[in-house]
This record gives sequence, C-alpha cells and structure tokens, in this order.
Amino acid sequence: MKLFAAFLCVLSAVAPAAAQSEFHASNELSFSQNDVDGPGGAASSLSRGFNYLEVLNLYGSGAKGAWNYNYTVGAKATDDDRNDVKRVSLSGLQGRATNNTHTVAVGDVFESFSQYALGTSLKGGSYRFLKEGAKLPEVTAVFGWAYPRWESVWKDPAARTVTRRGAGLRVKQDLGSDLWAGLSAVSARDTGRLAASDPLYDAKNYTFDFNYVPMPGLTMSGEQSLSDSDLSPSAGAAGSTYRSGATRVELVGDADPSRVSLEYENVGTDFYSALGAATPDRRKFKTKWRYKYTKQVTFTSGLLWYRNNLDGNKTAGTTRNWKPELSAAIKKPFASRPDSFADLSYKFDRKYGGGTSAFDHYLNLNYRDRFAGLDSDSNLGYTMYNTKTGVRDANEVNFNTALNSRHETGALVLKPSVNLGTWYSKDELADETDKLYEYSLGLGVDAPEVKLTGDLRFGQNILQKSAVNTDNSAKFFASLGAYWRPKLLAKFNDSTLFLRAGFNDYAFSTASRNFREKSVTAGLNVSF
Amino acid sequence: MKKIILILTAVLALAGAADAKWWIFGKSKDEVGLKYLYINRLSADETGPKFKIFRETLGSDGLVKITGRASTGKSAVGSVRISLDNKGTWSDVKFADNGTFEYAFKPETGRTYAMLLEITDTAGKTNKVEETRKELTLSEESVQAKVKETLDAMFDAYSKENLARFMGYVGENFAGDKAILERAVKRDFDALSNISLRYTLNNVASGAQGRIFVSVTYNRMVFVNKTGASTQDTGSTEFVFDSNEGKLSLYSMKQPLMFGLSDAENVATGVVQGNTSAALVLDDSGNIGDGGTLVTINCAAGTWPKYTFASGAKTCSAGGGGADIWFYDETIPYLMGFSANERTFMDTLAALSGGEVKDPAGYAAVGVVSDSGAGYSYCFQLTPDFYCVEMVSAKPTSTSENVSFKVKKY
Repeated sequence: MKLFAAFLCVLSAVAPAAAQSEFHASNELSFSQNDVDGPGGAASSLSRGFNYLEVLNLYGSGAKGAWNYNYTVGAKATDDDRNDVKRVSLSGLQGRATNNTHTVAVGDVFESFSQYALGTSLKGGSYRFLKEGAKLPEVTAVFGWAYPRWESVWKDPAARTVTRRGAGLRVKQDLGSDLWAGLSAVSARDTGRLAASDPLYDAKNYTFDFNYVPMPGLTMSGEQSLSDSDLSPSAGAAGSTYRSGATRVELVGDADPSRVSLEYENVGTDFYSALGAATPDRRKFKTKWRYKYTKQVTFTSGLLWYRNNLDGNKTAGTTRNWKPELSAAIKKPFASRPDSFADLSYKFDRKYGGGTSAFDHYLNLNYRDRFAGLDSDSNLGYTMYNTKTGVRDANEVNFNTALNSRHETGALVLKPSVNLGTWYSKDELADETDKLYEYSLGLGVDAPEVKLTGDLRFGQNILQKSAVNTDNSAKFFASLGAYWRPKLLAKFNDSTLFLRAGFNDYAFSTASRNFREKSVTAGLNVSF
Repeated sequence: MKKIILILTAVLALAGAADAKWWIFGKSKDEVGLKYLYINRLSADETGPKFKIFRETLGSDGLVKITGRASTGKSAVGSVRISLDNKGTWSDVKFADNGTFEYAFKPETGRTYAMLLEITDTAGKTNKVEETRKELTLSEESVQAKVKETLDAMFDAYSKENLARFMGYVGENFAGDKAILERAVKRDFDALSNISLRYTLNNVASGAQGRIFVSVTYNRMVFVNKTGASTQDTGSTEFVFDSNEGKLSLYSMKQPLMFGLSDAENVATGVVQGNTSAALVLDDSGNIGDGGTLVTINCAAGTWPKYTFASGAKTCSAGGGGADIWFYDETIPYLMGFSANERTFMDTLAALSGGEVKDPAGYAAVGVVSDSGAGYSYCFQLTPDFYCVEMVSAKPTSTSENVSFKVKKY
C-alpha cells in the first residue's frame, strides 16, 4: 500500500508539471487471494495467500527550442514471487529527443538493424543521424547492455545474469529512389560468469542488407551477415573461434488478386548472432502463393523445405524437411446462407534423415455460420503422425464447436455460449488410446448504461487414457470476470474496476496428485 | 544449392528487366499508381486498411511521416495530393522528378484520419484513389497496454488450443518461420492439455522502426497427454513484436519458449540469459523433452531386463544383480531392483532439477521399488554421479519381457 501511495504522489507531482505538453499515465493495482489445497498442491502454479500487483506506466512528450522529446517510465511492484522475484522493479525507462536531424535515446534503446544484426533491446544509449531530403546516409550508433531487465544492470542478486555488453553501428544509404542498402557492425562481449558452466561469447557480426522495389508491387529484400565469435564454453575449458555466414533473400509480389513470395535462407552451422535473430545450421527455401480466385474464394498454397547439417559434421546425418500446404477459404459456400464461411486446409510434413523418417498429414475444416441468431464456429481436424523409427504412429481427430448468441433484454445484453470439444488419439505403436472431452457453458452480461460487463463460465476437461501406469484426469473449472467503469472514473480513459475469480479442481487416478485452486483478484485500472 | 541460386538469379534478372506480368497477374507497369508507400517506415503493403499508431512508436517529433513514390509509366508525374478527411479536403504534396514524395502531419490522440492519395500524370490520368485508402489512428492506449492485451490474447488462444486464433497474432515474417511455428504449436496442442500460463511484464521497449521488445516473467503448468501427469516451470523469456494495423504481431521468440515447444530448435532464435532451470520442450513423441534418453530392453520370457548406467549396457538374465538396475516380471506395475541408494520423486525427469537430485538427504538402500506410475522418477546415487529413471512402459507377455524407460545423468 505504501508503494501505491508513493506512485500516486509521483502521478500528482508529475501531471501538472507536464500539463503544457503531453502527459499520459496508466496504473493498475490488484489484490489476489489464492488458496490451494489437496495432496498434489505442489503442482499448482499459483502462489498461496494474499498478494498484490502494482503496474505503473508514464508517458510524456514536449518541446524545448528546436528539440522535441518524449519519455516513458514503467514500474512494477508485487509480493508474489511467481509474478516477479523482485518486490519492486523498473519495467521500462526511456528518453528520446530529436531536432529532426539528430535523435538521441537513452535507457531502453531498441534499434532494429536487420534480422541477423540487431533485434534486441539494450540498456544504454543510441544516436541517429537522418537528414530528410538530403543525400547523406542515415547513421545509427548504439551502445548498452543486453539485460532482460533493469535489475540486472545493478547486479541485483535475484536478477543477475552474465554481463553482455553490446555495441553497433549502422549506415543506411538510399541508392536511387527504389533501392536502399545498409551496412551494420555489431559486437557483443560476455563477462562475469555466474556458474562454471555458463558459456561466454565475444562475438562480432558484419551485415549487409538491402531493399529494392523494381516495379509497383514487387519488393526484393535480403541480407548477408558474417559472424566471428569466440566461445569460452565453461570455466577453465579451452576456447574456440567460429566464423560463419548467413544469407537471406526474399521476393514479394503483391498485387490483387495475387500475393507471391519466394524466400531463401542459409544460416551456417557456426553462425552466431548474440543480439539478432537466427536459427543456425539451417538452409531453407520457401514459397507461398495466395490467389483471390473470386471475391468469395481465396486459394493459398505453399512449400517449405529446409535441412540441417550444413557442415556435414553431425554424426546422426542430415535431417531434411518438406512441408507443402494447400488451403481454400470460401465465403458463402452455400448461396442460401449469407453468413457462411468455410476454410479447408491440408498440410503435409515429410521429415527424413538423421535417424528419423516421418510422414505427417494435417487436414482441417473450419465452418462458421449463423443460424437463427446463433453464431457457430466449428472445427474438425484429422492428423496422422507416422514414423518409421518407432517414435510415433498415431491417428488423431479433434472437433470443437462454439455456439454464441446475443439477446437484449431492457438495459441488459446477455451473451450465452456453449463450447464443446473432443480429441481422440490412437497410438498404433503402443496400441493405446487417449480421449479428451471438453465442455464449457458461459454467460456474458453487458449493462451499457452502467458500464458494466461480466462473464461467467464453467466447464470440465476429462482426459481418459488406456495405458497402464498413466493417469486419467479431470479438471472442473469455473471463472467469473466483472469489469465496471463507474462515472467517478469517467474523466480517465479506460479506467476500470475489475473482479476476477476462478476455481479449478484437478482429479487424477493417482489420488495423491489431486488438488484444488481458488483465486480471487480485485483491482483498479486507471489511465489518463 | 547451386540450382536454387541459379533459379533465384534468373528470377531477379527477369524481374528487373521485364514487365513480369506472370507474378502481378495483369497489373500493368504503365498504370498510374503508387510504386510503394510507407507510413512511419512501415510498408503500406504489409498493413491492412486500418493503421493504429502508438505514441511510443512515433518519433520524438510526434509526426506521422508518409513517404512513397508515384508511378506513372511513360508519362511524368503531374501532381500528388493527399486527403486526411475522407476526400473532404486535399493538400498538395511536394514530389521529386522521379515521383518520390513525403508528407508529415502531427496526429491528435484518438482521432481517425481517413487517408487517400491521388496521383495524376501530366496527361491527366489518375490512380485508383480508393485503393490507397488507409484509416490512421493515434491510439489512446500505451504500448504497454497493447503488449499486455496481445499477450493475454495469445496466451488465451494457446490455452484454449485455438490454432487459427493464435496464428492470427504471428507475423508473416516471423524469424523462426511462421509455417514451422504453426506445425509446432499444433503438435503442442496434441501433446498438452489444461495449459495454464501466467506472466507479468519485466520490460517493454519500443523502437523507431515500430518494433517492440518485451521481457516477461512467466509461470506455467501443463498436463502432458502422453503420461497424464502435470509439469510446471517458471522463468523469464523475451518476445519481439512488429506493430502495424493497430495490432502487434509476433516477430521472434527466444528460449525458454512459451509457444512451439515441439520444435524449439527451429522456432527459437536465441536464448534468454539468466534462467537457471531447463527450458520446457517437447520431443517427437509428444513427451516432455530434455527428460533423458529413451532406453528400451526386450528380453525373452523368464529373464529380467537389466541396465548399467555408466556404460549403457543392456542385458537379460534370470535373477537380480549383475547391473545397476533390473526389472522383475511379476506383475504390473513393475518392480525395480537396484544396487545403490535410491530416492523417489513425484516429478518427471524434465522437471527435476540437479539441486533436488544431488541432495543426498532422502536417499536410502531400499533395494526394491515399485513403479508408482506416470510422472514419478527414481534416482540412484552412484557416487559421484546421480542417475534418474522415469518409466515409459513395461509389457511382460508370455513370450517376452519388454521395458522402456528414460534415463538421465545428473
């Protein structure tokens, strides 16, 4: 509560000061009471007892001379270890200023260079030079630490990680009106091993990327990256140096009625991008074609192929994957049913090599319609997992249907709903069968005049297994959510009082695993 | 490989040199229109008709910048005009000789701007103005609120095993590949039930390119259909989202993964530092992965399957001894004999931590243990190493004695 009061003080102090500019804040404070009982209660993911969660976010902007600035601050407080190991934490801190040519940012800086080069937020600073209308290149420099949270910066024992210091420089130049190219250099250096087994990298990536629009609707883009990384796998172990490359080229043609894409990617086995996004040891080719055959019918087809073991050193050999797919989406498949919609898809997975061989088929039919005020959404799926290596030979069928309707009675809007589902799996290898049944009933209530919405739902999931030494289980659940925007809070945008309650009763064949969860959360969300 | 490069090279060369009607399906290069259009650096081709912008993703100047290039075929560009109020008023836009143009305006929070662009060539021919329509709104929501709304919706769709709804939040350019993630999530749904996911935001950072970085603390409980047992884990992970069309779409995820556990190797693009427990993943058979190595021993009737941990030796002989563990054939559940101190945990191998296993308290020379069923692990103290076993199946018949179990060294 002290924390909440402190946050309110901060709000009241900051808001008037920023009144001449722009200032927004949002605050959510909630209290939860969770109870878990039963012999298997240790399996629950709820914390027992009374807990609170406070989340505050501030945003401000303004101008001073030729400079415009904005800032964001976020903080979180909780006494629930499952929400956060820290009682109070800083969830965001960023300040940016620009004079339309020079832009400086400090705090959480997130500069995306390209996929392989940089796509991670750093805690530090960045500078960008961009002079609109001039032929000068856009230059971006960034420096900081790649910590997942601020507490890691000041080495809080509960949030300590290996120190990863990152730095990057990017130069992007327009080469004509339809083509731009960029060069990026990014380095990441790890220090401060916490455990003897922590790997430490000293990695550099040099990346070229481009984007070209040769004609209306056609875009070509890609990048080529080289990585040079030193790895110390663990304390005292000999280090290794790896050099590798990654290439990505994509063509997208997008003009009604078609959208066609072709993509090629080759990421070397030893390629390492500490601050970018890459899946090493993968060569991939992908194509996709979406074609609007008529206003009602759209076909989509695709083919994905990829393999690993690019350096040929995997003892298990190379694994190759083929994943073709075909789907058709049809509006009004039945002329007499104006709200009908059907989507039929077939996907195939072929995986072979590396000690495995699998043929998997996925067939799915989705149908939506409206019958006498009742909206229905039904899904029927059939999956066949078929391996030649004794991993899984199974036929699976799943069916789900949701029925929803809406009724206005005076000042109330009632929205009853029913969900039914089943999943059946026949494992041919083990000669065992699994069945899952699900049902739930719900009632949504809206009272627009008093700005109240609510949802009550209960149901059951039942898993039945034929295999000995495995557990059947049943989960009964009930949940209630209520959201009220009283007039008192009308001047605050989207400010809401809320109440959420839930009950889950888990029962297993092994009675010592049984447990029940009860949870009630009440809170206030304020924003302006 | 060479063939693919050759094909790509040929495609590139042809695309640059020809009208390439094979892929644009009838759209002529001579039509008056837009060659490209960007709204705050995001390609308009990649967005839908409605474009919601968050305050935090605007530049510090607070401006929405619209850049593009008019395409007029053989004619020159005569004029470029923009309307932000559904054709109510039009403003001239300055353009260069090659047709490139730029327009900027400061949006007001909550107001919707119905934007249309009109391109006219020097012969008086204009583009199809309606095709350029975009509704731009500066959202009243903070990006944090939008991130929470998106993650709530993704977690809800995943928990309810609604694949189509879940994939609606995944971007076309998902770094691990959208098609791979879709198959992996489908396999997750077949392998898991009663998925319960909770999270709180640790850190949200937005960039000028419209991308949003998100770090969360999560805790999760799932039922594994293969065994019927539950498992849980907690940790922190990271997402990157793209922001367009008023919604966030998933761009990348790191290990530990929240979604796509069945093909973690191909779905994740990096590892979050600071997690101390093993990431939850699913193997090809739908079992929790990183839960040890599967061992199968088939023996003739009257002999007992036996296993030695260090060497991995599998033997069959009558009577006990001669190995670290051996399996009796009396009844199901199987009885296991062993030659070392043993401790039973009500947890799967995947969920058991090294700290728990290596704590010598609780180990005892019991000699024989009966299989308690799914989700139990039996750990053996063979100084200095610890080995744990999780039973998969035991199928004694009149002609054979077969056992399958997973084993993991700690």
